[in-house]
Amino acid sequence: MSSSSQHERVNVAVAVADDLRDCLCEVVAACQALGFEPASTLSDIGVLTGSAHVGALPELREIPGVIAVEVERPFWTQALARRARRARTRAQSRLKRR
Amino acid sequence: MTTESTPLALRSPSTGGSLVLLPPGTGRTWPRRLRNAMGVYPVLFDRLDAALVYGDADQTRALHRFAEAYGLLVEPERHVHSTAARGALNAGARRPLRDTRSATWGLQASGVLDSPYSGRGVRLAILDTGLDLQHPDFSQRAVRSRSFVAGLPVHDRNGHGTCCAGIAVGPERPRRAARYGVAPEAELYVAKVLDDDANGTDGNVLAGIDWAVRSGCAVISISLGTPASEGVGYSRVFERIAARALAAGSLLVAPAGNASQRPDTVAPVEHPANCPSVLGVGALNQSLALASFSNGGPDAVAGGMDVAAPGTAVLSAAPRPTLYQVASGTSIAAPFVAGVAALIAEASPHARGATLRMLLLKNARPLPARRRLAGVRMVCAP
Repeated sequence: MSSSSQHERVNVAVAVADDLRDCLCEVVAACQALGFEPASTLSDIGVLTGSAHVGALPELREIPGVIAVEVERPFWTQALARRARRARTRAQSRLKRR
Repeated sequence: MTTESTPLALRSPSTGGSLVLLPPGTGRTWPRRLRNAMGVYPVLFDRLDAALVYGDADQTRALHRFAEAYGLLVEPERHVHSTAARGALNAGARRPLRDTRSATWGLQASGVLDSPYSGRGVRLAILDTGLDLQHPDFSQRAVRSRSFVAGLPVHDRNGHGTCCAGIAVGPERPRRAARYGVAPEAELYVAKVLDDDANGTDGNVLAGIDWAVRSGCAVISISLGTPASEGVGYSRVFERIAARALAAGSLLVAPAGNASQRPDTVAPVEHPANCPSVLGVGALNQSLALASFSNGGPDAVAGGMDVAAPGTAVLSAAPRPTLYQVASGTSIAAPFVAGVAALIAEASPHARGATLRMLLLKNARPLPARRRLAGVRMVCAP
């Protein structure tokens, strides 16, 4: 991997071990020491989101209490096709009955 | 999950659950004590003074120790079969199902119209493009909402979120359409995690899941995904989150994806539906066959499709001024399953998380004989 890509920043999600969910700030501090910039701390599901250098990801994964680090993915909906169906008005209904 | 292809001789006569007979007249006092002993809430039959508990081997051993200490009778729950057909759905149906003036084809096919439950008291979250909060079918409802997309309000300018919310919890008597909602009295929580072009990222989705779990939602429908490569496996982060959500009493439901061209090509279930702790949903067509686009290929590394639901030509709500739309996709099937999960959650107030998931899968029925595929079952209302 080239040094430029090593310094590229990516958004990441960091999953923290169950027994450290009540003291996430310690894990945040350890991550910040490696250049991680937190965006949110999601204590109910035990996850940190933020950004980090690509080159720092292996070290982030080695922090005690960190169980997984994944680069953010794009999401989109899973609808194939949608077509509008306007509500039939009373006038239309009367017209149809005639 | 037991599949259709499992040889009969290998099937366990027990479901893995345990039936507990409680002292007469004391039924209501036992759920918490059983939960303290096992770590899972039982399904209580208080008029029968009995409870049903699902747990792993350690939890079952803990139950037996508890039962021995209190003199309770415990038996393994068994599979039972009716001699008539509560088997395949609409086995005699030869023509594709159609909407009637009173209800959509999916509500007819899944037994929702015959169910005494409406999702009352159950919190259900839709994580999507938001909701048209002023839609006439929702404007009288108490909706809790929050946007996790920077700079955008909850209001849905795309239509996907309003469609999904309508399928899950649309009203029993819509203003200008046939009934299209599965659980009309469920408490709706809306998180906007996709922008108005229906795009988003892990960060938005995770924040939405965290909010829904914290809000005590029993069911969380996330009709979104991203392709997963076969053999690569599932996201460790999302799997851990889904497992934590289950432990906290929230069941995550997600679409399998639409990349298949059956019967020639069957694409693997997409992320995050491929996480084992997320309920992955495939789409059925009006003939109750798996829709040609519905993903769900076998993947030894990641999870598969857990259940199927109506997902083609499904009527639901649309943002004003259109009001209604007809949509297809596994995105459409996922909120349908979420709605049915809310009905089951109302029917079994102590069944949450993994127990709710198990009840939903147990209540699902095989497809009609000619449509049958190994392991594919259609979600059914209680």
